[in-house]
Amino acid sequence: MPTVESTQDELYKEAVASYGPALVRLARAWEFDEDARKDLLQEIHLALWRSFKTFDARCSERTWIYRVAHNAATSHVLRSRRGRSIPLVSIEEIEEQGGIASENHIAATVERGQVLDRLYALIQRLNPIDRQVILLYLDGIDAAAIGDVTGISPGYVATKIHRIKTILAERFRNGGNHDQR
Amino acid sequence: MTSDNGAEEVRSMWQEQPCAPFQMTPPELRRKMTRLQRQLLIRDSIVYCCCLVEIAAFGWMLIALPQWMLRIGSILVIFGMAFLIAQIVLDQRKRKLARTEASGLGTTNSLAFYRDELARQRDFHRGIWLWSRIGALFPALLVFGFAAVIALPYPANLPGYVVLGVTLLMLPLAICLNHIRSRNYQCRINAVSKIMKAQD
Repeated sequence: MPTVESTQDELYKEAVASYGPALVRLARAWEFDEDARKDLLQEIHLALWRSFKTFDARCSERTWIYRVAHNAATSHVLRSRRGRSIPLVSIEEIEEQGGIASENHIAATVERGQVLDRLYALIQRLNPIDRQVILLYLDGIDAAAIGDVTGISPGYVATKIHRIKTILAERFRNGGNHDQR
Repeated sequence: MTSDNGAEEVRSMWQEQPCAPFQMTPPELRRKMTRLQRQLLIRDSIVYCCCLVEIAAFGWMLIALPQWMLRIGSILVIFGMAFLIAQIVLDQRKRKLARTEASGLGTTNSLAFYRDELARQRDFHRGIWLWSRIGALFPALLVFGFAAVIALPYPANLPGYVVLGVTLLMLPLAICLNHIRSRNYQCRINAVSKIMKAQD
């Protein structure tokens, strides 16, 4: 019979095998600085491993992993933001304000890496909740599952996703292509 | 191009970006956990040491200084500082639990978790937490400074003037900074509440 510790270790290994790259992307989206990002990634992995001790499958493993990762990231950033006053905005405000990468849809002519850098910069301007929604959306999670992770109703998530899609399409148009127009 | 196509393109790019693999082995995680707990223990020990040094210093004054006003001031400062330190320890304990007990991270959705974290931080800077801290510490320092000024001869009473001056300067500053911080947290809580209301 497997012990609690071995189950915890197994669940952690499975989670990393399936969601490891998503956790790396998440850490990068929350922390630009490489050292801080590494700390955050370690903190997320530690939180994940610890959390599996009490995982009771009342929600899906995916929901659990994303909740732990996003909550650990929120906690980490709130701690490190103490004393700093970086104004964070909502998806709606981003749309109204313009800003990142808005200059003549320059994403059309830049490299894929630059588009990703701009995308990360845009994400880091968002408040934690909108940041989570956009990250989950980018990872291919559907509205219902995003609702499970964030606690936002699927209908409201759908509204947010609609805005996100518009922003992404307008600001990063043809970002994936390398052709010059 | 429709927004769906454009967004899909960015989404694919996002998912296909190269990510350096990262994994910690269970023994590494256990070591990391032990290290984290040790770090938190060291941080707590520093607070306890400060508490002991402060009690020793004012305790010495309580015995060494003959003036009864200074003795009362010393007792009040000891209690005030001990109260402040107790508050910090309580707040640190809450944060430590959040960092080492990860089960709550998986059972609480992000919206509720974010709101709770903000509320905890806001409460430290306002209401009973703030006013009890100020009520315990500042009158004690004022009494001690005032006692030193009137009970000791010049120039031995100069530190008393310094204590009085700094205390009177720090009081509005402390209230103001705590107010700004709590208002800042409240604004963010309001934004979360707005999301909660919007989906009703």
